[in-house]
Amino acid sequence: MFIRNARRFTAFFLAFAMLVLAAACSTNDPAPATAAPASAAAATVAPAASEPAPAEETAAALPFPNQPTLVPFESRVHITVPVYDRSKEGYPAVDDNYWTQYIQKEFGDKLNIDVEYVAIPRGDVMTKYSLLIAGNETPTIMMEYDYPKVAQWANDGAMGELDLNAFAATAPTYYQAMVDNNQLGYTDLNGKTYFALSERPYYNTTFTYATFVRKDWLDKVGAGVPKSYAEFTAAIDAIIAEGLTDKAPKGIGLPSAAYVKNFPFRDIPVDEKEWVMHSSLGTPGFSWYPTERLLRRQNAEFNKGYISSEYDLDSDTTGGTTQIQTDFINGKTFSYEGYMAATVDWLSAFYQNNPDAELAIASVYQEVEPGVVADAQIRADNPFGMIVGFSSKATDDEKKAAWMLMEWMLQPDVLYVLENGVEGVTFTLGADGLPVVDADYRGTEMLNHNNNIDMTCLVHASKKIGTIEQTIAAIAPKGLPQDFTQALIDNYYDLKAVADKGNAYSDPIFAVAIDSESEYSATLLSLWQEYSVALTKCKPEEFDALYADLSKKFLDAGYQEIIDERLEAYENGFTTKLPK
Amino acid sequence: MNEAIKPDTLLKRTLRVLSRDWQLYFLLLLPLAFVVVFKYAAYPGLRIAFLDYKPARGFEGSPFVGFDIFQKIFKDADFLKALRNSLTFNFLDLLVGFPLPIVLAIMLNEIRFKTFKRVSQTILYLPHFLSWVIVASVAYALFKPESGLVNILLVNLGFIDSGIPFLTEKWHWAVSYLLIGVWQGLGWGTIIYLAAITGISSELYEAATVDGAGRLGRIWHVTLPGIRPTMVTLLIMNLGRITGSNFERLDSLANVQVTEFQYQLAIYTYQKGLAGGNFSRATAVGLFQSAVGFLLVLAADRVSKKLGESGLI
Amino acid sequence: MASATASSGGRASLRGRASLSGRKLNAVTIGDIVIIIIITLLCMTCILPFIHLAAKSVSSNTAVLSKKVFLWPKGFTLSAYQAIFRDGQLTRSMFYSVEVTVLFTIIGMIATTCAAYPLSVKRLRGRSAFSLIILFTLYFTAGLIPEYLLLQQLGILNTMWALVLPLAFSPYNMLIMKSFLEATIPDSLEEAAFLDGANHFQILLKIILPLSKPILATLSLFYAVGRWNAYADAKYYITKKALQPIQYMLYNMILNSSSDAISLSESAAATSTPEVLQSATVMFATLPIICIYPFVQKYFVKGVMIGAVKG
Repeated sequence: MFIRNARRFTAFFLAFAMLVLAAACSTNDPAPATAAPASAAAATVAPAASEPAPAEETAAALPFPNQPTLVPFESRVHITVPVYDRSKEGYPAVDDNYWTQYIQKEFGDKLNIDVEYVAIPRGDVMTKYSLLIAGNETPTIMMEYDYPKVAQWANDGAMGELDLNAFAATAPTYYQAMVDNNQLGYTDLNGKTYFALSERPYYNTTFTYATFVRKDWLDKVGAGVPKSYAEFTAAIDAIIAEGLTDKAPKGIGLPSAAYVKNFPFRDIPVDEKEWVMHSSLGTPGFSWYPTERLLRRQNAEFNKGYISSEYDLDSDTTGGTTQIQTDFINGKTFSYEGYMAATVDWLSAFYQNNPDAELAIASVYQEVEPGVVADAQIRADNPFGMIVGFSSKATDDEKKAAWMLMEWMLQPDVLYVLENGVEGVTFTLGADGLPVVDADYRGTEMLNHNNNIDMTCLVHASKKIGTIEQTIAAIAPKGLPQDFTQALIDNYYDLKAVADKGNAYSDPIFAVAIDSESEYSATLLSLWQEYSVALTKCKPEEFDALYADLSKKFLDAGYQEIIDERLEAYENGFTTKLPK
Repeated sequence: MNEAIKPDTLLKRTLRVLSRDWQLYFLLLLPLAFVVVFKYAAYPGLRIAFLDYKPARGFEGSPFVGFDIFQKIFKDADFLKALRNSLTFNFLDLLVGFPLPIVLAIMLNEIRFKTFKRVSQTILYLPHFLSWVIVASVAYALFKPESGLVNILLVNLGFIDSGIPFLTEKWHWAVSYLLIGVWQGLGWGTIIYLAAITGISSELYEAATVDGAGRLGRIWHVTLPGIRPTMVTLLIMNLGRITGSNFERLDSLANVQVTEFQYQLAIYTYQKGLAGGNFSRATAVGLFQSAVGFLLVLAADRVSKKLGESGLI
Repeated sequence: MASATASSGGRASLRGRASLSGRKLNAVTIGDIVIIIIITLLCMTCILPFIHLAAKSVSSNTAVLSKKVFLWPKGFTLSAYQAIFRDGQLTRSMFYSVEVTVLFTIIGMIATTCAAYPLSVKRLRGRSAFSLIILFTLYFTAGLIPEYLLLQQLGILNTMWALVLPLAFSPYNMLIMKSFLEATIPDSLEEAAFLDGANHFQILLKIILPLSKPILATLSLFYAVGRWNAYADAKYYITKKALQPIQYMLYNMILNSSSDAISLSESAAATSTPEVLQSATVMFATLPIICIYPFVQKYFVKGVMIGAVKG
C-alpha cells in the first residue's frame, strides 16, 4: 500500500516538476517574480500587435498615418539586417529577443515585411560579411562605421548602387536628416552613389571619452590638474620624487591599432596635402613630422622614468583587462582613460582598491608646449555614424523595405521606445521629465547592449536625451564616491572651444579605393609597433639616427606606395577636404 | 591474379564475391557516402585558386587567371614569413611533441602502483578536455610578465627580479607555444601507445628477463621494438601536417609582440584571405598546403617501406 | 596497410599479460621513485591551473583584478555562477552543445564501424582501393572556402547539421579501429562464424562489437571531446545565435573582449566581461565533457589499458 502510494506520489511529483520545467523553459524568464508585471505593461504598450493585418484592411487605411510613404507590400518581403554580436554575458541573443520581436510586430507585420536580424561578431566583422556574401546570404542592409570597409564591399560588387531619389521618396525624413547634417558629400565612391549615412550627434567633440588623473597625488605635491606640458612634467617629477608610486607613473601600452595620437603635434593649420597623405586610421602615419615629435617626447619621458620598461608587453586597447588598467586599478599609475557609461567597471574597481583616492578629469591642454605643441588639437569623429549601403543582390522591394525600416526607426516616438524601453519597467521618468533607464533590469524587456544601440545605430550613432548637459548626465558614471557629471560637462565645453577654433578635424575620406593600403597595412602596423618601441627605448642621443633609418625602412616597406596613391586621389579630387 | 582475365571468369568471380560479401560492401556505403559528399564534392571548389574570385560575383562572373594567384603569393613577403614559421614550428612540434608521449607511455607502463597509475593517467588527460581558447586564457593568467601568477610567485620568492615575458617576447613565446602544445596533448597522446604496448607478448618480456635484461634493457629490447609500427604510422601521419597549423591554437595564443613567430599559414590565410575577402588567395594557400602534405606522406611512406617498415599505404 | 595499434607481438593482446617477470612488488627501486616523481610533477602542472581557475570563479572581482587569488578563493561568492544560470543564452547553448556532441558521436561511431569492419576483413576484394579513397581525404583537404561553399550548396549552412555532419566521419579514427580489429579479432574466429552460416551483419553485431568495447569507448571519447572543444567551424558556418555551441560563445567572450577590435569611430562604452565570470564560464563549459570520462574510464581500464597495467 505504502509503496503504491509512494509511487503515485513520485509520478505526480515528476509530472509537476516537468510542468514547472516546461513553463520555465517556454518563458525563458530568469526572474519570474519581477517579470510578471512587466509583461502586462508590455501588452498595454503594443496592444494591436499580435494580429497580422489583412490585405484588404491595409489598403483602406495606412498603418502609419503620419508617414504616408510607409505603404504595406502586396506580398511578403523578407529583409535581413545586421546587428553586432558583442557576446556580453547577461544579454539575450542579439538576433532574437524582445526588441527584434517588437520591431517585427510594430513595423514588419504592419507593412507585410519579415525583418530578420543577422548576428555579426563585433571582433570579426569583415570575415563574417565575406562568408555571408560568398554564401549568397548578403544582408539586405550592409553597414559599418569605417569607410574603408564599406568601400571594399562597394568595390567588390557586394554592395549595389543607391538611387538617392528613390531613397528620398521612401525615406523623406531620413534623407532630410542627411541634408541637414551636411552629409551628401560622403555618399559616393568612384563616382557612383552607394551610401546613406546616419547622424552622429556632437561629432566634433569626443565628449564620451575621458582621461582621469590622480587628484590626490597632485594635491600631495601641491600641484593642480596640469594645463600645459610644463605643468605636467613638473607634477610627474614631484610624484616620482615623493615616492607616491613604486612604478613608472605614466601608463601607456604598445600601440594596438594604426591610430597614432599625433593630432596635438601637428602645425596649425596643418598642410592639407600632408593631412591627406598621413592622417589615417588605416595605416600608421610614421615618417611624418608630428609622429616624430610624439616619439621624441615619448623617448624623453621613457629616459626620465615616466614609462615602464615593460610597457611594450601589453597593448593599449581600451576595454579588456590590460596591464595599464590593472596598474591604475591597483593605484600604481597617474592616469587612465576610456569611454563613459553609467557603469564603468575599472572606475568601480579603482575606488574599491583605493577608497581614499580622488580623481579628476585631465585638461585638454595638458600637451601644450611652445615649439612642439602650439595648441590643443583633437581628432573629431566622422560627421556621420553608420555608413549604410544595400546588397547588390537585393530586389527593389527588399531595398524599399529596408528604407522603410530606416524611415520608421527615425521617428522620435519610435526611437524613444527603442532606446528607453517600457515605462515603469526598463525606465522611469526623472524630475525633468526625461527617461532614466534602469541598467540593472534583467527581465524580458531588457534593452540590448548600450540601450539597443546596435539596432538604432541604423539612424544615429548615440542616444540623445534633451540637451547636451542631460545627455552627459545620462552617461556619467554612477555609484562612485565622486560624481563626475559637472567635470564631464566642463570637459565637453573645453573640447567645444577647441573645435570652435577649428582645431578639431577628422581624417580624410577617400572616394576611391586605395589598393596598396589593403596590401600593406597589416605589415606596416607590425613594423610601426616594433619601430615605435625601438624609438621610445633608445638613448636620446641615438634617436635622430635611428629615426632616419627606420623611417626609410618604413617607406620602403610599402608606405611610400600608399602615400603616393593617396596623393594621386587627392589631386584627382577624390578625397574630402579639411574643414575651413 | 596472374592469369589473363577472361570476361566470363571475371564476371563469375565478381558475382561470387558479391554474393558472399555484399553485406560488407553495403556497410561501406555509409562511410563512402560521407567522404564523397563532404570531402570529394568540395574538390571542384578548388578552382577558386585559379580564378580572380570575388564572393559577390560567384564562379561564373570570376575570370580565369591561371597561376597568377600562386605567383602573387610566392612573391608576397608575408606569405614567405608565414611559410617559414609554419615549417619551423611544425618541425619543432614534431621534434618535441612526438617522442614525449612515447616516453611518458613507457613510464606509465613501468608504474606498478595501480591506484597511483590510474589517478595520474586521469589527471594527465585533463588538459585535452580543455579547448584552446580556455588553455590560452589560463596560460595568460599564469604567464603574463607582471600580472601573471607564476611571475608574481617567482618574484615574491626572490628567484627573479622582474617577470619573465613567457608569452610576450618572441623567443620565450616560441618555447611556451611548443610546451603548451606538448602539455595539452601529452597525456592524451599516450593512449595509443599504451594500447600498442598492450599488444606486446608477455613471453618476450619473460625471455628478456631470463636473458638478464634490466628494466632499461627490457624497454630497449622489447617495448620500443613492440611499438615501432605505431610510431612509424603516427610519424608519417604527422608529416602530412607539416605545413598546416591549428588555427585555434595560434589564434588564441596570439599577441602583438609575437607576430614575428606567430604569423603562420593558418593566420595568413585567415587575415589576408578571409577577413580581406580575398578567397582566391585563401584557397590557393590551402591547395598548396594540401599538396605539400600529401607529397610528404607519399615520400615518407616510400622511405619507410625501403627501411623495411610496413608503411602506411 | 599498416596499423596504429598492431604490434610485433601479433595476436597476443587477448591473452598477453606480460608480468613484470617475477619481480617483487614491494621492492621499490630508484627507477620507480624517479618515475613517480616525474609523473607527479606532470600531474601538478595539469591540475594546478584548473584549481586556480576554480578558485577564481568563486572569488570576488576586486580580489581577482588585483591578482590576489592563487589556489584558494578570496572573498568567496557564487555570483558568477548565478549570473551564468540567470543568463538564458549560456545554459541553452550548453544543452545545445550536448545535443550536437551526442548526435555527432553516435553518427561518427556508426560510420566508423561501417568502414572499419569491412576493411579489416582481409579477403575483401577492393579493400585497399576503398581504404585509399577514404584515407586520401585525410591528407588532401579542399580547405575552408571550398568546403564552406559546398555546405552552402548542400543547404546545411547555418543549421545544426553543419556542426554534425562534415566532421562526423574521421578517417583517422577509422584507421585506429581497423587496426584494433585486425590485431585483436583473429581471422579464424570470423571465418568460423561465417562457415557456421552467420552473415556479416550478425558477425558484426554478435561477435565483433562485443569484443570491441574498449576501442568503441575510446573512439567515442575521441569523437566527443573533439566535437565539444572545436569552435572554428561554428565561427564560419553558424550565424544564428541559437545555433552556436558553448565553446564558440566562450571564444567570443574571452578573445573578442580582450582584443577589442572596436573602431575608433564607434564611441560606445565597451566594458569587458569580468575575469571572474570568464573563469566561471570556463568551468561551466568544461565540466560536462570531463564528466563523461569516469563512465568511459571503466573500459579504458578494462580494455585497452589493462594490458598496460600488466598486473
